[in-house]
Amino acid sequence: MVRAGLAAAVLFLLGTGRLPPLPLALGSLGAGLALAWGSRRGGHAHALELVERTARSSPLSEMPVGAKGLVCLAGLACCAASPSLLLALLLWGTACLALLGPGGVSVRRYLRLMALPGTFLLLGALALVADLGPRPGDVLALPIPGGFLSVTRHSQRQAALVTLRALGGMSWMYALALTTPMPRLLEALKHLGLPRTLVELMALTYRYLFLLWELLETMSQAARCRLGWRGLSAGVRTSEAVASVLLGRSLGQARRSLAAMEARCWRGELSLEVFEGKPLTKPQALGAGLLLALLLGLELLAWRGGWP
Amino acid sequence: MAPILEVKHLSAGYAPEEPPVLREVSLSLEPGERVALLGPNGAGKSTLLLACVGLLPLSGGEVWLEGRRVDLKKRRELDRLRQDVGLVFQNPDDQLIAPTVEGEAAFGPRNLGLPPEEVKARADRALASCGLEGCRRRSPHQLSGGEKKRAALAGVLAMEPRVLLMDEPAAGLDPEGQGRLEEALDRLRQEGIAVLLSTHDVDFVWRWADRAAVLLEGRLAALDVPEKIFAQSGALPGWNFPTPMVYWIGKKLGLSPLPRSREELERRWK
Repeated sequence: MVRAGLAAAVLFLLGTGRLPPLPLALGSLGAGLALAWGSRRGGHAHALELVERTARSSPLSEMPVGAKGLVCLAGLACCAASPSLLLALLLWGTACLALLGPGGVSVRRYLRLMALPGTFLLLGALALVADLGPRPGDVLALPIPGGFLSVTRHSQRQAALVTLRALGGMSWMYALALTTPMPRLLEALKHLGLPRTLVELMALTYRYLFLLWELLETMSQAARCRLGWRGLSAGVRTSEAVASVLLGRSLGQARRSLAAMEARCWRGELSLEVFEGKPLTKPQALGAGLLLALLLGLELLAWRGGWP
Repeated sequence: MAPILEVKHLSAGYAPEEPPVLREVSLSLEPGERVALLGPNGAGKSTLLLACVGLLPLSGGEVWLEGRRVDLKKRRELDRLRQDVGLVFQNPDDQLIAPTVEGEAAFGPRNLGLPPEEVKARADRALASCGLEGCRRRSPHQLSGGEKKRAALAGVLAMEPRVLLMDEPAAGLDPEGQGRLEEALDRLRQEGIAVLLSTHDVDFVWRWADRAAVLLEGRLAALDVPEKIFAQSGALPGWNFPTPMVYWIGKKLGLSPLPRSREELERRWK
């Protein structure tokens, strides 16, 4: 509900002065509720696990990372450099279409994974669009002690542009992360010349994250069974206990994992790459090329055509 | 012929300032032999397995591989010991570190510095022998408990050890998983791999083991063929294991030699 309220507030403030108040209020509330419903948590899967699972089941999971990475990085760069609202919206839409279409990601899962970064973005948008000051804004001015809570046309545009750019950028990053299993990503990073030690550390960290998450989940469930989160004081006490135990157990886990590696002649170097990858197919190459051309074309048009 | 692995008067613990968990344990394994390690929780079973591959500092004793003493301070000798003696941990999550199952199977062979073709061939063989060909690209956290256990076993088998140490391999497995584990253990015997495993399952020990060892409070209380070990049950202080069901029925029926499995018991009873 908090997310729904936040989304509705941001949408209302962005549309104030441009649309009639009642339809705007109802539309904002409806959109906020729809977003909150779509992004609600279903099942026990953690976001990290969802990303992993989605990437493995994506029809593009076997596509070479180079081509995918190039398109996604181009999308990200175009979003960051977008001077216009329309372009930012189009770029975000393109990322969504790429993800939901060939990427094979469901709308529900996309919304669920966007929930956390989206909440931060909405909070940022709220801070950008609303201003506290002694002078009233040209769109909205609510008198409060010491001045006005104001919304100006300039702040509306700035907030919308920044939010759309960020949403687009996030979606392009997801376009890569949700279609590429981590081992393939690591392999690509190694081929790009990233230091071997760094890639190995990333691989180990990735594995440990899952182990620690499972550990945390088990402890949390055990605490929940014994009403560990019943009330604020119990919650604080439980969180403190879980955090301290998690630290000790993670150290123990690290020690046991190290012993298991040493038992298999580990000499300080990890080789974790997968064996064979599939080459780029013609439809994939064509799709990537078209998408890249579309992104660059849109960016050029927006810069030269003076889009809003 | 010298035993393939032998520990002599082994004493080891987790911290030098504390008294050793394992005290003066001597044990040997012949090629292809199957030895079960019994003992209550905290008796030192896992410690013994860790010490056998030089993962714990020894406060006394020696490890011998094929009649040669292993100098655990020398990296090359330690590597050779760990190449020939594989250890499968009780909790597979302690062991699985690669992002994929096939990466896990390739981890050990790569550490041995083998050429990529050989690494792949060994990983393929290990995955096939553990029935994990369909899980190659999956992450360890996507596997079920039984699959994780098999992935951990594949990771060790890919190093082609001649001795396998397994820490409670059947713990947490369902009956089907236990059946698959026993099949895998039978295949290891056919390949001449010696196995030393710790377990609490006396019925399994009775039908599977050539010899059984009992650890009590860090000391080797008994080491013999299962018939003699279970004949002593109750006589050993601290021994809290029941006798195996088939053994007990065989005794009650006065069968000689005693049947080792339920199938054998049924056959002979008819």
